[in-house]
Amino acid sequence: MVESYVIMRVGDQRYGAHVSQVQSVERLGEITPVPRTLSFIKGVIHLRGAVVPVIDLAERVGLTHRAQDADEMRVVIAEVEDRVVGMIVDGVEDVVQIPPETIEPPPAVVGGLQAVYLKGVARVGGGLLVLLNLNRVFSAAESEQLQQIEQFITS
Amino acid sequence: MNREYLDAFLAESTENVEKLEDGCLELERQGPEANLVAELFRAAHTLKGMSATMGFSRLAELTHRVEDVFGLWRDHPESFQPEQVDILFQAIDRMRVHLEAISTSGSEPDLKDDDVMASLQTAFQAREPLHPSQKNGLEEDRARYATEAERQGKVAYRLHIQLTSDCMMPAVRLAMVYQTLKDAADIAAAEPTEDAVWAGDVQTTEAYVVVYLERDEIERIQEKVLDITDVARCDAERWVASRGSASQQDSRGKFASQETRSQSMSTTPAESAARPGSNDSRPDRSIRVSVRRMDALLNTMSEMVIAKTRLDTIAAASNDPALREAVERLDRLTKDLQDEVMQLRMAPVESVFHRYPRMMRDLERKLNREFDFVMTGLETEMDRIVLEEMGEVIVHLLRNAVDHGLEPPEVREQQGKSRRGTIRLSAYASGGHIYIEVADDGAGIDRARVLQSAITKGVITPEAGASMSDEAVYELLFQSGFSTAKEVSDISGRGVGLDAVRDKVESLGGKIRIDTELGRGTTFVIELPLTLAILPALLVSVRGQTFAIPTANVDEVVRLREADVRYVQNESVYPSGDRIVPIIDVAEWLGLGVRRWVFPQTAVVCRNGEQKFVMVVDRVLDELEIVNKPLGRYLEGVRGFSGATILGDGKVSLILDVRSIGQSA
Repeated sequence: MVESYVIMRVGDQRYGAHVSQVQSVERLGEITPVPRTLSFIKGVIHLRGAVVPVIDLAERVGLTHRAQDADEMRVVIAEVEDRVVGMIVDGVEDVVQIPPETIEPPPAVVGGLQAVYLKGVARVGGGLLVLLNLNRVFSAAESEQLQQIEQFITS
Repeated sequence: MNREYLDAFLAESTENVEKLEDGCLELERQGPEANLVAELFRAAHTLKGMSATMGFSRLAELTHRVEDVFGLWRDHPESFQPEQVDILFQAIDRMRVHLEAISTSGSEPDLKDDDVMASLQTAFQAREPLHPSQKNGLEEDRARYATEAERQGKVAYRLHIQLTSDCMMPAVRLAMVYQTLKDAADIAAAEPTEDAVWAGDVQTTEAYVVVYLERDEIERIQEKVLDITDVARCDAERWVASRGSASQQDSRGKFASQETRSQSMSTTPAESAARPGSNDSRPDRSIRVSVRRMDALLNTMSEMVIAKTRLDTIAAASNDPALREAVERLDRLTKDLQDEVMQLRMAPVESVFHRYPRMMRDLERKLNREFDFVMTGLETEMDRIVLEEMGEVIVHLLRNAVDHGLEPPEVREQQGKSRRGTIRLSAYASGGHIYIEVADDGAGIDRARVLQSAITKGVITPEAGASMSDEAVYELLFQSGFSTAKEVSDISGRGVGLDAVRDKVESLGGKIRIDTELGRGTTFVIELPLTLAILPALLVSVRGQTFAIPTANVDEVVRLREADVRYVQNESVYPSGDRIVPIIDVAEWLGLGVRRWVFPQTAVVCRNGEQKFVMVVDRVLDELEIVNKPLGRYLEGVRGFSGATILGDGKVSLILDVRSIGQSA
C-alpha cells in the first residue's frame, strides 16, 4: 500500500500534498486581492464558475520566491474539511508514490515550517520531501486571521 | 448505515408525515371523505413499510397503529369522531420526534411510545364492539362496497369460504386463500381481517371476503380457491348497487346490473369533476438533487455565460456572417438554459407554508381565539434559500397575528365584528419581487398608544411624535429597544421581536412594512428579491479595484461637495434629509489608500436597517445583475465582504457587505 503525493516546488524546497486533498493544478491567472486580511492570503480567483481564495505557500512557510517565471508558477487547488484553497507555488513537479513506512516523523523545524504543519518527511529521489499537513496549514491560517481581525477592530 | 439511503428515507418519511398532518387537518374540516382516508391510509402504509425496511421497528409499530385507524375509518366511516384526530396529531408529532432523532443519530431513539399507543388504543378500541360487521358476513356495508366497486368500473363479490372441519392449520389455509384472492383481485374487506390472517391469529374455519374484480373472473377465482388444500366451499355472491332492494343474486343480476350501470354512468362524471386529478392524473414526477450539485450546475452555467461573452466579442469583430449567426443562436440558447437553471433553485412557497395550518390550529386552541386561516398563492415560487430563511419570520408574524392582532371572540362580538376572525397568509410575485403578506382582521395598531409608549421610553420626544407620519410611527415598532419591552408589546398589541424580523428580512435583501387600520386589522407586507443568487448591484471603482454594492442597500448616489461635509468630533458627516449620517471612505476602510480630499466626491448613500451612512468611492461604473458567489469557509472570518461575483470579463469582484461596514461606522 503506497500513497501518492503531489510534489510542489517552493523556492528550492519541495513539499508534498496528499493527492486525495488535491483537486487540481491551475495556471496562475488574475488574482483579485481581498483587503483587510492576512498578507499571505493573496486574494480570490475565478475557477470554473466558483470563487476560490489563494494563499502564497512560500510566504505561508516563511520563504521568499526567487525571481520566478510566472509561466511556471501554479496554483494547487486543495480541499480540506470543506475549505477549498489554492496554494501558489513556484512549480509542480510530479506525483510520487511513497510507502507510508518510509515516512519519518518531522523534525521540530523543517524549511521554516513548524512541525505541526508537517505530516512527516520522506526521501524521494535522493532529496528530502516535506509532506504537508494541509488541515493544519489551512486551519492555523484561519485562527491567525481571526487574531488579526481582532487587532483591526481594537486598533 | 449508508447515509445516502438514510437521507432518502428521511426525506420520504418526512414527506409522508407531512401528508398525514395535512390530511388530518383536512379530516377535521370535512370528515372521513373516502378519497382522503384512502390517501392517509396509503401515506401511513408507506411510512410503516419504509420504517420496517430500515429496521426502525418502533416507528413502524407506531405507524402501523395509525394505519389501522385509517383502515377502520375507510371501512367504517360512521365510526369517525373528530376528537379522535387529536390523538392522531399526537402520534404524528411522535413520528416527527423519531425522525428527528434518526436524522441526528442515524439510529432509532430509545423512546417509549406507550403513552401515544395507549391513547390510540383507548380511543379506537372502545369502538371495536360497535364494529358493525362482526360475524354477519360483512352484510352491513353491502351497498357501500357495491357502489365503490362500480365507481372503479368493477364488480363486488362477497365470497364465503369454508374450510373442512378437520382442517389442521386453518390460519395457514386462510392465509393461502387470502393470498390467492389478493393476487387475483382487490380485497375490499375481510372477516377475519387480513391483518389477523397474516398474523396467523385466527382459529375459525370460515371466512367472508369482499373482493372487487373484472366481470368475468369470478369462476376462475373460485376454482383457484377451491384448489387450495382443505377448502371445502367457496360461494360467491354478487353485490350490486341498487337503491332500496337489498341484494341481487348472481344468477338473476344481469338485468338489474345494467340498470345500475346506467345510473352509475350518470354519477361518475360529476364525481370525478368534484375531485379533479384524483384518479388518473399522476403528480408531477420529480427527483431529489442535492444543493451542492445545484450550485455546481449554477457555477458551470455562469462559467459558460462568461465564455459566451468572450465569444460575442470575437464574433462582433469578425466579418463572418455564419459565425455571427451561430453566436446569436448560442446566445438565445444560453439565455434559456440560464433561466432553466435559475428556475431549479426555486421552490413553491407551499414547501414551507404547509406546516403552518397545523401550527395555527394549535395556536387557536392554546390562545382561545377563533379564526379561519387562509393561505393563498401557494404555488408562488421563490429562491429556496430565501424561502427557508423566511420560514421562522413568518412563524413569528403569524403568532403575533393570533396573539396580539386578533381579539378574543367575545371582544369581537362586543365590537360588532364576526366572532370568527380571519388570518391570511399570501404570497405573490410582482415586478421582480416576491411579496409575502400576513394579514389579520383584528384590532389594528393604535397610533396614539405606540407614540405614547415611545415617548415614555424616551425613544422620541412628544414634539417629534406629533409631526411623525403614520408610517414613521409604525416604523417605531421595529426598533429594538422599543419592541423587546414586554409592556409595550401588550399596550401596542404588537411587538415582541419585530426588530429580529426586520433584521432577517433585510439580511435577505428585503423590506418589511406595516399597513394597519384601527379596529380593522393589520397587514405585514414583506418584499423580497426573487433570488439571492442573482441580485442587482452597483459596480464601483476604488483605487482601481472593482467592488459591487447590492442595490437593496443603496438609497441613492450623490455628488458630495466640500460644502456638504460637516464635522462632528473630527469625524466627517453628511446631512442627508433630516438626518446627519456618517461618511466612510471605502479606500481608507479597506486599507487601499489614504482618504483623498478632492471634491466633488462620489458618495453612495447606504442603508442597513435603521442605520444610514455614506460610502465614498472613486467612481460608479455600472449597475447590473450579478451572481452572488460565496467566499467559502476559508475566508469566513474576513469582514467587509458578503461574497464575490464574476464579471463578464471573467474577473472576480468582491461584494461589499454593507451591514458589517455600517456596524463599524
